[in-house]
Amino acid sequence: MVDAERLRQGDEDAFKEFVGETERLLMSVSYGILLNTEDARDAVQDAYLRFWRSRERLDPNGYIQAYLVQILKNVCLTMLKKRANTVGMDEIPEPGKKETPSSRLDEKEIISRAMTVLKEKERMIVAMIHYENMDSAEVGEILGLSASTVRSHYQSARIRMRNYITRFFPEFVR
Amino acid sequence: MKCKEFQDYLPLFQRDLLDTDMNKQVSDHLSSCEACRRVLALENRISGHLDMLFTMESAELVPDGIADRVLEKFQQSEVLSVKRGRSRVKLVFRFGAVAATVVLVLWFSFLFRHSPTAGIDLIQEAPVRTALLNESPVRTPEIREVQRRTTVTRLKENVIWISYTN
Repeated sequence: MVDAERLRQGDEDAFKEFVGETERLLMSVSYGILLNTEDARDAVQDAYLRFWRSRERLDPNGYIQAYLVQILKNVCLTMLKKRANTVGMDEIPEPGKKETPSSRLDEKEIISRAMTVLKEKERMIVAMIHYENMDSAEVGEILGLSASTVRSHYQSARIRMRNYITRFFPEFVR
Repeated sequence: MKCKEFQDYLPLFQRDLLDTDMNKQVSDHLSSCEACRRVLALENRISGHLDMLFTMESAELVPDGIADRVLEKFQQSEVLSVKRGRSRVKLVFRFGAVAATVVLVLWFSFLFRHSPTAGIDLIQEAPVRTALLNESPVRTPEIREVQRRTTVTRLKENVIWISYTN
């Protein structure tokens, strides 16, 4: 783990090392929240930029990854708010065509859709557990939650996903 | 516990996030319950797809040289903020210059403004001349008219200010 003091002093090599250590985690968390490749990439870059700008405020005894994930979460939530006011071209339904959730989606898309019914925090937890293979204690340390709270969020997230898939995509269950 | 409750624990069971006791209970129940085994199979599929989703999406997501790009962007933003700072200082100076000019103009206009009583001193200092005339050289209007149209102000004992308002 990179020394926080080196980052505080503006050591660019330390920053590059730190990015190398954390970029995978950030990408998965970002994608978990935004569910869009381009947006996730932009959010991560923005989060690192904000982190580097505020490096002098880093607590040498604090957990830097938690601070970085908090920045990323704020960036992602801002992007989600902006996105709420716009509609993508592919989201506009064709005139006269009624679309149901189950109309010909592959299994990857079904899982992506099921992720959208989760809250941001739940998505972050699911992303960290599935992509980073973290246990509940590690996730809790990053998000500032207890391990049992993380397990509870993960459990409710997965139950909600299962219920959504069972209800709207019965062909997935068969 | 009922099946529904066991099924709620399945996501945690499947990711090995349960404590030992609960893990054993769920495991024992699964060995005897076909319905819960089907739900576990569904959970396994969902979990497998989630693993795949993040692996696929995030693998193509991680861009090369992100640190270099961030540092470059940071330096650009620093240069921009210095430029913005300079232009802000310029703006403050311009605004100050305009404000100072306006204040000066207002002050000068106050100093040299036209006073309605500017000629009073001359009247006061002029020597008093008297002449005896049989009748006034100026045709005096009717008293009522004069009273209506003029304002007579006594400035000193022997000096009056007559202003006609028509």
